[in-house]
Amino acid sequence: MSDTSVQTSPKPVPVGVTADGPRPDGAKPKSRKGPARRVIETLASLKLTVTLLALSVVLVFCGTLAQLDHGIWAVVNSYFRSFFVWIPVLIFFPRTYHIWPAIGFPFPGGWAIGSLLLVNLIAAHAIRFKISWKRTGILFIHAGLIVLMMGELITGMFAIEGNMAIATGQSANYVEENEYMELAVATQVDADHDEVTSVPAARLRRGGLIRDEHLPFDVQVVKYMPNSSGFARPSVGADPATAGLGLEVAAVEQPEGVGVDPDQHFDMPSAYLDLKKKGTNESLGVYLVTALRQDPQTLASDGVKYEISMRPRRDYKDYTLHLEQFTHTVYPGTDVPKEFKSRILLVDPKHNEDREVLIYMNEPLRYHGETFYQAGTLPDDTGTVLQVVHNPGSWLPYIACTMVIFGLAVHFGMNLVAFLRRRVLA
Amino acid sequence: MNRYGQYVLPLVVAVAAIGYIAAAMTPADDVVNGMNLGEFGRLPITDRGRVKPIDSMARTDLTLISGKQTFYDEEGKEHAAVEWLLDVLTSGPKFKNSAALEHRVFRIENLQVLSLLDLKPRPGSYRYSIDEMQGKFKELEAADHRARAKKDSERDLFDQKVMELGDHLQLHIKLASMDWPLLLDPAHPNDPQPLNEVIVEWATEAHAQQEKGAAVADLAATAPPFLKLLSAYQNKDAPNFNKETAAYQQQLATALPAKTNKSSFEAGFNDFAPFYQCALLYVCVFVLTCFSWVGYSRPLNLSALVLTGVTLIVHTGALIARMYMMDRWGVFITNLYGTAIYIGWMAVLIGFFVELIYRNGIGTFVASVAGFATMIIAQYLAMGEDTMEMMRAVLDTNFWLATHVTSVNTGYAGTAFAGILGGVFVAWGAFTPWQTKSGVKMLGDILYGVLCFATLFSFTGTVLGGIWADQSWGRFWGWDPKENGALLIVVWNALILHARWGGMVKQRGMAVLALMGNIIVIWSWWGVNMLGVGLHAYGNVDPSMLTAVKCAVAVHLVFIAIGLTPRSLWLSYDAQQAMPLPPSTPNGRPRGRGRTDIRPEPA
Repeated sequence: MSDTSVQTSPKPVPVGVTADGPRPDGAKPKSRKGPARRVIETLASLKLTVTLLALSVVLVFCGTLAQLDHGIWAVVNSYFRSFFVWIPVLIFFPRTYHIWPAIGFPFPGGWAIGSLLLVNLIAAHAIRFKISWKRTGILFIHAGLIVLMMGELITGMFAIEGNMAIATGQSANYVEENEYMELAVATQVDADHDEVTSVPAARLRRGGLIRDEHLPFDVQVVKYMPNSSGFARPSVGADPATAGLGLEVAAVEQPEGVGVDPDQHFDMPSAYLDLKKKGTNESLGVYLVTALRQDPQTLASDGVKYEISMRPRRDYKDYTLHLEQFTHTVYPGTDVPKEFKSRILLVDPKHNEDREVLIYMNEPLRYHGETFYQAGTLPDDTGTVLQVVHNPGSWLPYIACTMVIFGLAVHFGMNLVAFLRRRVLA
Repeated sequence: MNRYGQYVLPLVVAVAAIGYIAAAMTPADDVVNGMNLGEFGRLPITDRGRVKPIDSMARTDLTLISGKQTFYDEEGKEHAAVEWLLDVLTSGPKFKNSAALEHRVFRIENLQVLSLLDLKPRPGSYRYSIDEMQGKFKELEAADHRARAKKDSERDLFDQKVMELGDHLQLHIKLASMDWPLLLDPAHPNDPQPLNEVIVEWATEAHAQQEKGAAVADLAATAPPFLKLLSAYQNKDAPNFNKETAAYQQQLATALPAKTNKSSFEAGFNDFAPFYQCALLYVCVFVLTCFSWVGYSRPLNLSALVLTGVTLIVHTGALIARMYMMDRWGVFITNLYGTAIYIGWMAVLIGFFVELIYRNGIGTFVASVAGFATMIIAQYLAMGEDTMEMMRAVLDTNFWLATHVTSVNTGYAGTAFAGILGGVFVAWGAFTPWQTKSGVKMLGDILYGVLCFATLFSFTGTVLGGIWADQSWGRFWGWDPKENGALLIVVWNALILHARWGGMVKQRGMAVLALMGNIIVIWSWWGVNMLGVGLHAYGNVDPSMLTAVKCAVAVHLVFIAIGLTPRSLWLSYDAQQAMPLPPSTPNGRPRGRGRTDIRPEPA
């Protein structure tokens, strides 16, 4: 900047005022700036910072209100992990007002605001700040914020959360990812192994005919419900089921779960599927598969037995967790939980691991990139539910916040010292 | 006034305040018919999952039913909660004490519920006895049954109030049948037993002994001490009641000294009611500060400062006492009630330091407003709740409670302080002719400092919350409503600071933005809980609180609107014109070789 600014006939600088200070006549120095320079300056401006911060306040507020209508993950994906979001006006009013849901306005999403803030920050440091001791705090704050945003980005892209439910005395070697349901078609290969072909629920959601070489039959989606509840089937079924579970129970569509729901249930999808003999139009029956009843249904096609079910995607591990004991204690005379504790035997032949671990609230087990947290209980305390998280970016927030907190303390501390010194001098 | 004259009034105020506190701390003799109920109230029992004095249980239960910690008899005489509890405990089939049925303690304000029960509105009290309701229990039961069969969303106010009354009667029945309290068993301190079971156990054993020919008088001597107490109470046998109380107290003190001491301490704490005393003292600070602006400034100002200091000591002591009673050192906050008393304390602390620096009444003014308001909120939240309830498993960790929760609430307190300061700025400028340029600058400096403080703590607290979440269920950030609320405060404070550094706002702009920041604090502190129940919704909020929150937001919006009116309409306009800015003060964005200096404006 200094190399391009031209100052016309500066007045003599009074004694005690540096040449860097404001010009005594109060006029702006004229300058010739290239368009690129002007763009960078706009990108680096504090006005842009304030605008973006204001936009993010609005976004976060709306993203909170929207959780009354939609599941927390739906909101996170549409509001915070997106570039644009359509915000319906009805979120601002009591839901009893019946405002037409289509009325709304477009708004920049979390990724748009976040990346602009990042650009703004980097541009500001590139052209405005000189590196000096006085700026140490600010540098740390801003660098830490960048790391924090990166951490959120990595988490958003790569983190996987799942559940492992183990009944007392039983073992489990797979993690269920409840967010991702799938249609599993299993055939027995030998006494110990099944071969499983799975169709993600997202594919079922798109509907139509699903033909795949791995599937033993073709699947025609009759009806897919992202969330549902079940009940005993009325004698005359209004549903299309002609075989299997669907003859006993019926599923009805429910709105997708909402974020402020007291007990954060996952959506329970169901589907009516017309299974057809491969390559033909011959129906094997219309089956109901539902996450509400995950025990498999058997059917035969060309003399081979298959088991079908709607269940969470499973991620099989090399190791096995065996639940030895599960304790759930309450405070005397109440039903307020005092403690949940799982005593687990961890067996990993591959890494020659065979040890006992204790998992309880705020004390997770970390093992081979996965972390197992005490999350809940099976009905009647018959077993434990562990939350299993794999997040390659989980350590970034720790570094980020150390940097920011240090930066804030240094920056405000220096301001405070300077202020107090001035007070004392005055 | 001579040099030392100005210290006379502050000294008098300090001595008076300390004297008042000492008087309030002295335990009052609560003796009824010669029976020492105060001593009885200190006995430790287990209730709602923790060991506490029976006095605490009586207060909580009575407040739940009647909205007050004491009750009045028909002659208008005030009685302690333990007396009510003793009457209820002896009202069952064993003793048939009818007094409990006559106490007017059930608060019923809903006119529809009153007409269902065929009762006349009783303005000023709205409290009724069981005897008065008895004739209509069938109708009440039917209405209660209908209300409970409905879904949450379909219940109207009448249904809710009927269910509420139903719950209160249920509580009364539980007490009358001695399901509560749970008595401490010195042999099994962690397995308390309901009073009725203790009695039945003894009675069965005594019956068996009697069959074997034991003398009745000998068996009576082996009765559980609590039963002997109740029977002495029922017989109005004061010497025996006092003797049994002392003996039981002694027995527990020998077997479980720590629990008994703590329980006794808590009863004294209840009696002293420190947060109530603080509320009163904050009013005095407010009055002293206001008068200091009218005249006799130095002594009154200093008195307000001294009184703030004394009150702060009481407030601090009460917070530490709670840590001792909950056995959670370093943990200020375990529930919504805790946030109120802590935020108040922190705001007062900030105000105290501001006042130490500026000595012009601004600090004590904001401190007294924040202190009083939060004490009122706390009083309201304590209604029918155990203010030291046990923590659910996931929250039961002293480390995170002490760091994350304390830090976030310090951020709230700072932001709220700045918000009130914003209100002071607007009111002072718009409604008085005395806000000078230097006054504007001074308020701007305080606002800036407090906002920096608030940013530091709200950021730290929010991030610590993320780390806690990562430690306990592997998710650093979940975009949960409460997390978002905390994030909003951080971002808003950052916005104010950046707007100031960029010269987009000056003092007035900061004041208006800080007022908006207060709305965000109200949203995060209260509004979020009203959205529904979630991980962080550690307190349920009822409709009257919703109204209060709406009013608070409306008041802030009015202040913001006034703050945005042209300065020429403000009464202080002339005062400020009279003293123009010195030309060297940079107004707006400082310039120099194309770099924007983001240093705060030099003083």
